[in-house]
Amino acid sequence: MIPTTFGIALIVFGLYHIAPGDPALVAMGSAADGQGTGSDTESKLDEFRRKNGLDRSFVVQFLDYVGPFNLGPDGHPWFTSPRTERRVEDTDVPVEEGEAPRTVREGRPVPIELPFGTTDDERNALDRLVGALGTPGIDEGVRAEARAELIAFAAGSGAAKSKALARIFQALFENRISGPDEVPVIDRLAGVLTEITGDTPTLDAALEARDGRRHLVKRWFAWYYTDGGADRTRNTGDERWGGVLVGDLGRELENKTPVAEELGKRLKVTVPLAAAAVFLTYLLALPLGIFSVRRQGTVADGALTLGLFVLYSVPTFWAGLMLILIFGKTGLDWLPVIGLFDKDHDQLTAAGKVWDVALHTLLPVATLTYGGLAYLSRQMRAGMLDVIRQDYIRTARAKGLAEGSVVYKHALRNSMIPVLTLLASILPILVGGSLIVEVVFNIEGMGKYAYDGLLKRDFYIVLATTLFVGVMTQLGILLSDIAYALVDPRIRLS
Amino acid sequence: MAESKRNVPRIDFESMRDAEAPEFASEYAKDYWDLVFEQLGRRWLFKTGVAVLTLLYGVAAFAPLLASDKPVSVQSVALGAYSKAVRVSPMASSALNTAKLDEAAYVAGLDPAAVDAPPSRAASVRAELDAAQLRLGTMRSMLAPDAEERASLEAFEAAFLEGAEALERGDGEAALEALGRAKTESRAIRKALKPLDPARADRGGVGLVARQSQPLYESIAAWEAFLMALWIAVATWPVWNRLVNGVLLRGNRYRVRAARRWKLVAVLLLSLVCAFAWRAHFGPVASFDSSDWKGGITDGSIVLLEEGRSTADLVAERAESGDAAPAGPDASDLAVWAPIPYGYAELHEDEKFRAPTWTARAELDPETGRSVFALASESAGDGGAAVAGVSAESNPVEIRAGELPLNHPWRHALGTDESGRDILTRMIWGARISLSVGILSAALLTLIGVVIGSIAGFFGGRVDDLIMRGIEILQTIPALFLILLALAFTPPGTIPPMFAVVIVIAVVRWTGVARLVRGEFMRLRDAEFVVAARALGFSSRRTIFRHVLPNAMSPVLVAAAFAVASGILTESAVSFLGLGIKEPQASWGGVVNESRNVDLWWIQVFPGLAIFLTVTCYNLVGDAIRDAMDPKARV
Repeated sequence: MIPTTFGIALIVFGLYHIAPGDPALVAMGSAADGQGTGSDTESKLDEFRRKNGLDRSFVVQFLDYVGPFNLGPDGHPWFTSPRTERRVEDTDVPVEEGEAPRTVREGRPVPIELPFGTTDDERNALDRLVGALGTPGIDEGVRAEARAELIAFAAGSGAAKSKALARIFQALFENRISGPDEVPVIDRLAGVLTEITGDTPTLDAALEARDGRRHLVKRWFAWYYTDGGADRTRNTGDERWGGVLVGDLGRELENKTPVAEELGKRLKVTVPLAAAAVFLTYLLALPLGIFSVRRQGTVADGALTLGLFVLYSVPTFWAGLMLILIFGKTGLDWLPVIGLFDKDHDQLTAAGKVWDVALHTLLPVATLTYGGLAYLSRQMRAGMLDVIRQDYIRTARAKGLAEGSVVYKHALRNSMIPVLTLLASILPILVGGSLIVEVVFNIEGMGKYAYDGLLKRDFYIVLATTLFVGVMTQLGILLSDIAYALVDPRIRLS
Repeated sequence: MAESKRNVPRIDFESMRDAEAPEFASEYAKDYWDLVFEQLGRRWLFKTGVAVLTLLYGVAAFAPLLASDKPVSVQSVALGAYSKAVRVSPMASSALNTAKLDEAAYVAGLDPAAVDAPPSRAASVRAELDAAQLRLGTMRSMLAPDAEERASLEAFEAAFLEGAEALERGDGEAALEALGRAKTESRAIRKALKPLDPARADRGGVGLVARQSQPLYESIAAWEAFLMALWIAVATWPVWNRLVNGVLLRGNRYRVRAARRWKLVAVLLLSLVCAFAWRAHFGPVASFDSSDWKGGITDGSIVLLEEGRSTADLVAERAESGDAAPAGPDASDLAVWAPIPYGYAELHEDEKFRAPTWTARAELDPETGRSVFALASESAGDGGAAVAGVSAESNPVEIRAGELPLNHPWRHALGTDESGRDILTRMIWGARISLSVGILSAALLTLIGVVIGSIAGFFGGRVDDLIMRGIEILQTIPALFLILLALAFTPPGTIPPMFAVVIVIAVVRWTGVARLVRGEFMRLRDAEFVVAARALGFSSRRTIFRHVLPNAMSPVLVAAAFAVASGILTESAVSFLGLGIKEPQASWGGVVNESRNVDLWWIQVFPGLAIFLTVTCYNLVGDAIRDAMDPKARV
């Protein structure tokens, strides 16, 4: 079962990534429909990718989702990731007498790593260019060339820019530690940064006087952590565990509520509905099947068979809409058609509440049931007809057993075996149906949750619901296997 | 059973036919397919189902002929197009300005972003000349053949051509002089060749000659013609098949059997020939045809007139009779419309959410063109009027050319949607997409399933294990979920939505067929005829394709029939949820999605009925085929 669940996750994850088009673009498309063009969109996309970890490789993202370790942006779990912290702090400025105390935002320089996915070629090129800028005593012409080349590199795309920035900040950090205060290297690097980003951090004179070039470096790091978009900290080990294996299904993209929590809330609606539908399906299908076998060949049997057959062909969504039309306001006005509760549900008595919910669930459950019912009673009839042609039934009849005894004792029990196993195939029909039924009747259940997730292109919701449904189906298969073994003594689970 | 049809010992039936009485052939020589057809022929449900499906496919194939906003044939003068064409002076003056420029200045002034801008002055002038010639062509085709004004067109064209040639030679002076002449000439043309509008005859102008055209036929592509011909051939099959069998083949069962393949080939060839003939006669379809015939005729920019007569004749006639109304035949006879004169994406905002016109609710006041019932529903309050269709605030509904009167019961037999598009038209066109999604997805999923199933079944072992695990995983996820997911994460515009739906359905649903095929392979692997094939030393390819696969196909065929039904159901559900076929394209599920408001019942009821009918018929047909192919498993 676990490998199968793993397989489901892999398939859905794969679909999400293999589907033609950029997942970030698709997800953004629903958030900001076609706002901005060109480089603006490109930088927004980059930001989105960074925020949601989409800039990492497929394998890293998948392992991060599955768990049990939370993987950092560098693709490391807490125990292999170098522990560093990036911090922005407000430094108190040494002020003169009488002046109001003020603070300046400074960033703590840390070793920066190049972003995930930097190729060796890019690494070498950046090392060479930044090295040419940093190393003293190099011909100025070469330096100017390197500078121009670096700026051109950063202008390439959003990804190239963040790589170049990371490398330059790396150089800034190294010079802060090893170099003397007044190295022109830092000024040179800051100049390039200004060229690339179009930003110049304002320097505080008092702090500059105290810290020298160090202040410039800290100001640039502050920019890098906030405006520069590198605000994602490394994997510090604060949240060591995560992913599906520890029950963490991620957070919704839009309002960041945990998906598992919301899913649990929705399941309280969907599971009772589905259970009622399964129960009703079996409850109705058995007598119908028996009826049509006992009256085999009569007009009633023919009509019933044809009726169920036709019922099987009705699209679920249409059946729901028609029920609403017939029983709702515009038709007979017998039943409420939207949601699970009335507006004044809270003021009702306990009995009134039950009655209210029962009225509201009648149409959705009917819509959920009819498809499975038609399918099941057809199979039931076929199974029983198959059994009734067997020799032992002929024997039972020949020895003079009452027809009722033959049907209920001999035929029914034996024909139940295949019908029980159908539970496994009815569950997916129900789940697929529940999505449509919940959309049509506007019920805030799991199906509607999945649908809303699809419309919002929220990957976490979609993957969580699909995984859950997959697990449920497997449980259904397991259940029907067990039931099979219970009903049929010939089967032994080995 | 299935094996028998491959293992009939070769007997020289031809010689037996001569020796024995003809009863022999009809009584004893039925093969597997004869039995299947005989079984099917006995089931009235099957026959009804096939008949209804045939009808539905006919509607889908002939959709352009049934519902279109283009006239089938029309005799008219396109005043609007002529008035546009008569303005040739912009080309002339633009060419003159270009010629005045320095070559270097022209090249420097080119926008680097415009890739297809003419690279030189001469090329630019040539492009202007082409544009002007296009307009001249339009004018020439409408002017009377003996009109004196044609001379000025010739003069203009000659001057323009001379200028362009001079510029190509590099003779700037001559070019300037010739283009200057062309410009003067073009102004004269605009003044002298002004069209004569019969509605405003006092303004004068040149009489234009009416032409006959067939816009609807011209908009039908060769593949559409192919499908129409194919449908006719298939739908008339019971008739010609009996004729061919009885007369041509003299009822001989062996000849009939041998001819099955040739009949299929003949039908396909015939349809292909029809398609080529259509293409040869009507030419290729314009990729973008924006001509608005109904609007044009209604507002007077297209004047209906018998072929060969000119607007001048019309005006003279009117002057004679002293009457503003056109004398002679009724103008409405000159345009022949499709039975349902609406396009599937033709908007008519004024008439939005109109109930089916045979209901009392849809009645409009013929004087004002507004709903009689709008006031009543407004007084009822609760905003019912906002959705109740043509309301008192909306613009009055007008009747456009070719349409039925406002309150005619068949004007919008199934109502209109939020943009005033006719639901019946959208359903007719939607049938194309819904039905083809069913067929195409079933074909594709059967193909995938057969290939993967045969691989698993033939090779067995590891390969089989791997494939079966994959199938198990795929089957654990409800198909609808997976399909919705794949569609949601495929950005729009990468592939046409119809094919996206087809591919996604096939990729998700092939598992059932693959299991079937694998099961059959497992069953047949040790069958005597397969062992015999192996013993004879046939290659595995030959064993698979000639011996195993044909015998494993009958359960697959049944599964395919059901797959069409479920494909149509899935497409409708997906489009209903807003993730499949999107507007302006129509599919049955998509039409239902246009409103879930219970007051607009017609939007939900009719397309759903169509889906329901089709799926029921397919299920009936599939059921009958299953019973006929495998009588033992009859339910």
